[in-house]
Amino acid sequence: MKAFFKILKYGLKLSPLYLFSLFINDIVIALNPFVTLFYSGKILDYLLSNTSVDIIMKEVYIFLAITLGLNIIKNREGGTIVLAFRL
Amino acid sequence: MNKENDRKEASIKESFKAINYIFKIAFHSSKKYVFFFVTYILTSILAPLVLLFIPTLAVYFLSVEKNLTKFAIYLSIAFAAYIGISGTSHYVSSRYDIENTLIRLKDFFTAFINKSLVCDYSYYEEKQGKEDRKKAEHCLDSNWLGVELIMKDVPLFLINFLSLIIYIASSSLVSYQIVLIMLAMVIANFLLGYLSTLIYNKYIDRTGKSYNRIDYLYRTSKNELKGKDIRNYNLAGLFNSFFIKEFNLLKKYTLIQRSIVILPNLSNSLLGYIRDLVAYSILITGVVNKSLSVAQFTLLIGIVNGISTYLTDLFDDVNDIMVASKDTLQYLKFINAPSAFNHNKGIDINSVSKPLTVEFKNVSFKYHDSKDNTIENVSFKINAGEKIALVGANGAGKTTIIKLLSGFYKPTSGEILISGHPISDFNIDEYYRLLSIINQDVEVIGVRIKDIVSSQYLDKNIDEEKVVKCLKEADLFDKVDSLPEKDRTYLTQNLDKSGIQLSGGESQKLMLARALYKDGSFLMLDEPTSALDPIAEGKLYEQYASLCYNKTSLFISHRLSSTKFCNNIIYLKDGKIVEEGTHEELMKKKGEYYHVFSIQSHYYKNQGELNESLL
Repeated sequence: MKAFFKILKYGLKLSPLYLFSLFINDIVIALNPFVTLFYSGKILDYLLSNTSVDIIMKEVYIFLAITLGLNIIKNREGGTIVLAFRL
Repeated sequence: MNKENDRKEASIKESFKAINYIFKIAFHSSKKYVFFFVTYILTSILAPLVLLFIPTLAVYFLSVEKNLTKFAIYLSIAFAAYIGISGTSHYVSSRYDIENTLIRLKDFFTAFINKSLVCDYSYYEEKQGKEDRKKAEHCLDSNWLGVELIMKDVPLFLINFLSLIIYIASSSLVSYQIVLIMLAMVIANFLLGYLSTLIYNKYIDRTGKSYNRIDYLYRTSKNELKGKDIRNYNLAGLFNSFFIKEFNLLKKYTLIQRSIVILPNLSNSLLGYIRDLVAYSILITGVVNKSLSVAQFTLLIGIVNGISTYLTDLFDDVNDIMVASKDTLQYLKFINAPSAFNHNKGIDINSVSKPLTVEFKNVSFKYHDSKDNTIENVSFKINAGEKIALVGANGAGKTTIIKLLSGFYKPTSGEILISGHPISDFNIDEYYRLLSIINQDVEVIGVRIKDIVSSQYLDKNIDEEKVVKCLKEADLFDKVDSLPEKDRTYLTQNLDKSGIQLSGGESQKLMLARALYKDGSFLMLDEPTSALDPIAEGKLYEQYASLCYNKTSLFISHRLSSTKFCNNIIYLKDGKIVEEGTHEELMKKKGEYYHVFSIQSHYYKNQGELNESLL
């Protein structure tokens, strides 16, 4: 743990974005199933209760937009900034 | 090193060639490997398929069947099947990975080392061979490169490809629009991937250059010989500045590369968004119009997501395989490098008359990466049992003549005859047995003393008495006998911690003992006394006649006085023979030899007077 915090401290000294970069992949990966689970349940519930297409599609837009946003953050930060720190 | 060729992808045909080569060896190497390969692919396709049906089953039983007992039974069966298949898949995949590494080391790395040890010396020493060897080595450097990357990625490609076919076929049963969207995605993905690789490769050369420079500096900083200079001249600062400069450049270009890669990734995500949107709207409309059940909807959404994942992975696999294939082809190029000499056929050395005669007939030679001939139109003959000295300044071509006689190179023009036969007519491996050579650069291998002297590793193949005899003749026996482990002592501490370090002179004596043990018919000594003290040097000269008894020999030295006992002296200058004769004849002639001999003897005389005055 001591070594871990030492590395963390060193990383923060080099780049303030380091901590953010270090955990962003894990945060996005952890968030994804919750988003999917929440919206899948919601969409299934709508489908089983004969809700109109417009209302269901509205939820689909939001669901897919959140997923897209998470993917973009993962690609951008997870890749580039961590790599910059390693070098 | 040209990084451009290093990292670009191979063509499809070349990739197939590399895959075929690797798996032919891998399947042949271990029967278990075939089992792991097939089982890994099958279980990896099946496990996600079973998992896909579990939510569908849940929705079906909750919305249609509404029988909880039946649901529990089906769910248990499905979970049990999933756990069984997925567990097998994980076990087999980890075993498959272990086999991959073992085969890389056992088959491919061993073949690489063997080729490095037996390839033509000219190929080994010259620029092209060095580059080929480095690239081949790079291909075996890690689990994620070249050979092993192909072994990892080919089953992954098959898993993704076969799963994709199953998923697309399943979705086409419900909606052809979804299949059309998927196909559009395939084309878009391919074009984006291709574009991204093209741009990415533009920067590969620059980052490759930095990697090479950092690699060189890193290796130099570890080199024991250069370590002395680094400390004496305080070169650490120079190294650090160089490292920092190169790392900064590497960081700059790597970040540009990464930014380029991110662009197609983002476009890919956007396309995925559109694809999902269309798929959801088609499927939701289907459910609302009652043409699809909710359970079917769940299954199809799972399939659409699966297709997206498999598609992305498939393109990554193809790209990795093509890059790894290019590396593997470099490995193949090195492994299959042809030899300029005969290896399995040629004149029987036992049928050649001994002592050998050696004849140079109008021999000229030019190194591959040199503009001019190193030796030009050289002709001389060494009669059977004769002792010849080659003398001349640095760069006169003396060592090149030794290399030609050693069978390391072929003459550019002219002919070298050994007892009347051109060297190229011999089986080169047999020909080497005729030679006993002591080179001027002494670098001992860190095995036992008796291993070096006998050039053998297994005790049963070593003639212990002969080892002792040769050590005595080379004036090294007393030293070896004083060691606790005698001639079983290891040299250097690379293989054994109790290993010893011989001095330069002792190492040279060891090389002499090795040459005597080999007892070749043709003795070649290239500056054999360069590291000896004057007493040891004198002893060697006294022994020289007995060492060369019944052998033909060639002696190279800067010190002209050391060649007086030879039958004939050849004086070389700028790759040409300028004078030839006995010491007395050449002195009488008062030419180049006389001039250089006079300077050297004058120096020794002055040195002697200086030493006396100091005493």
